[in-house]
Amino acid sequence: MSKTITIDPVTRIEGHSKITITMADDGSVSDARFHVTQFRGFEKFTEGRPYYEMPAITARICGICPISHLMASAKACDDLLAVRIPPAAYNLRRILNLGQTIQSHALSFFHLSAPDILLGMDADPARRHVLGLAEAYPEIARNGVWLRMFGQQIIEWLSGKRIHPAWVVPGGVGHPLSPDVRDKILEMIPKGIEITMGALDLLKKSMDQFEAEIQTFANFPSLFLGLVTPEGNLEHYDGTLRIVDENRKVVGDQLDPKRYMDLIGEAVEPWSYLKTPYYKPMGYPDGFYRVGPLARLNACDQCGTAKADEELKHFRALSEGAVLSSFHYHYARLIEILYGLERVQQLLHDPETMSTRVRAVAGPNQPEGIGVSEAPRGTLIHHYRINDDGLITWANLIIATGHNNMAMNRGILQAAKEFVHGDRITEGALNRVEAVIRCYDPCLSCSTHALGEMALHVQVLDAKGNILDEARRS
Amino acid sequence: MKREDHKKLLIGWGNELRGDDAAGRLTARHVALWHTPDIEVMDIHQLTPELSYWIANSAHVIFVDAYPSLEPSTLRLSPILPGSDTSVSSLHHVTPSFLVTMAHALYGQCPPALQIGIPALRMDICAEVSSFAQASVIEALDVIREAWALDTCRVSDDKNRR
Repeated sequence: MSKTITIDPVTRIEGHSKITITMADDGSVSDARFHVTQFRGFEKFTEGRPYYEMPAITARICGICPISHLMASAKACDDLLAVRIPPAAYNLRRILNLGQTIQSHALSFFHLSAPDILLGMDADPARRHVLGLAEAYPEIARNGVWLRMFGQQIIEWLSGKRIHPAWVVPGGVGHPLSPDVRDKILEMIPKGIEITMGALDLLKKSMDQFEAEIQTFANFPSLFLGLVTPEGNLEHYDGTLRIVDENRKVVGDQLDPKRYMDLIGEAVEPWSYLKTPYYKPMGYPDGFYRVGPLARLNACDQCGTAKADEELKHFRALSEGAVLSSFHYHYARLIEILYGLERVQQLLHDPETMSTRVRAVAGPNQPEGIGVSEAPRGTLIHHYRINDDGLITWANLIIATGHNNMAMNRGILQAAKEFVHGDRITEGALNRVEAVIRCYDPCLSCSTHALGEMALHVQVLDAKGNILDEARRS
Repeated sequence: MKREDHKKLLIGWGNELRGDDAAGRLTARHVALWHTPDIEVMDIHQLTPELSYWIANSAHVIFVDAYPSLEPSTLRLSPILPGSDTSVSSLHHVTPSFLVTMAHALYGQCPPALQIGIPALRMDICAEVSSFAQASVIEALDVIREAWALDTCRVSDDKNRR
């Protein structure tokens, strides 16, 4: 008789979800699904609001990465105004966006995933968390706090507060950068680089212990999507879209983000509130792709900063083509922290950054606006239409975690087939299935534009849908 | 992130778009208006793990938050001890007791900590704090003064009600 295992809730991620694993009659895994069980509906209830409220409203989608939504929303509003923002505002938005990436990646690596990597996938779950990490590796845990705090501090110093600042506005930013803040950030960057280089060393030395996980954590061919600069380098704020395949062969390049609807379709499955984007030219479900740190490093030619490019060479040596295992999202995340620190340093040394001209003022000049940027978890798209009074008549948001929906589903199936056997799941197997999801650092509150916290529920079902075993964590 | 160590730290948090849930933040703003040099005030949306650094380096911490209440009720005061919350599911937002535990685990030190819960009668979507919760904020300020033996003027709190 076939059976189903349920993991509910999924832990150490943001939002509510559960995993079901269906077992065939012979005790092998026949299917696995990642269900996102929360819903909010920002696209609908923003209809009727003035366009200029959108950055503040959509930032409330998330308390973790509000800056990402601010950024994409402000860019969509810039498009409605049909303005080109001043160069200083351009640089300052980039710095803010990188501050967000640094703090988000630091939390994901040091505090959500390092317990698995340093304490072991099979470690006692009662200790396999940040407090256990603090006992066993206090310096690592403290470094994680420091890096996360630094990213948050960049956000607060620039914009006034760490969560939901109102500094990024249509047409630019609210006020210029003071020399005092510039100097404070610059003074701290060397320590950030030192911490990140240390973490990279530690991760690389640990990789031998995770051969099975590297082989089975969503390790399959797919497309990879990310923004790149005009030169083809790593980009988080602007640029054009590039899609590469599993061989890093460019499938689409210099793609105008404003034409995303020609590239991306959104499928809906009855078992999840999370929509399933796909690459339109290849159809659904064949056109599945990944976004986020791994995808960005696969898509770009270079990072464009010295230390990150040196690390990128080692990263590229993992594979002849694209790096396919989602386990390496962790590695890519650390390289992106390094890049972020170096890039912030470069931007702060750019004299243009200190200009006091930081905002272009205009009214709406176009009925439709699209803003695309890279959030820590991947490509973020905000698209608005307005009426003659500047009120929103339609909104579409495609969020990073959503892009990865198909990859996460296929990833847990791959890991479940490797680690789950029979109708009962061991703690280590359960953790590995969860750890596949954690590789993507999903933010389900964002991706369903929803409220809530992430927890895990795993169920084992038989072929008729009867629950045979289940485990919950909250 | 340089700061003077061993200040008293007040952390008020909540969602300003959820009515009385903002009571903790309102309290923080009142305390900031005291302009007391040895008090650091954090007025924030949610608790996050890096706050453990500031907590570990403080002389005393007071957390102020709203708690849902179906009817008018009193302030809830509870000391927070390290080790009282070791549950970890998300880390994207955490509890005061988790932060105190984390401060102790990471930095080997943790100051005395107190949590003040302000009763919240309404937490629906709105940007206004009820008059009952505002009155409770004033009571919370008295508790803070007493806990920190401060001699600030209560009249200024009433004047600064929002």
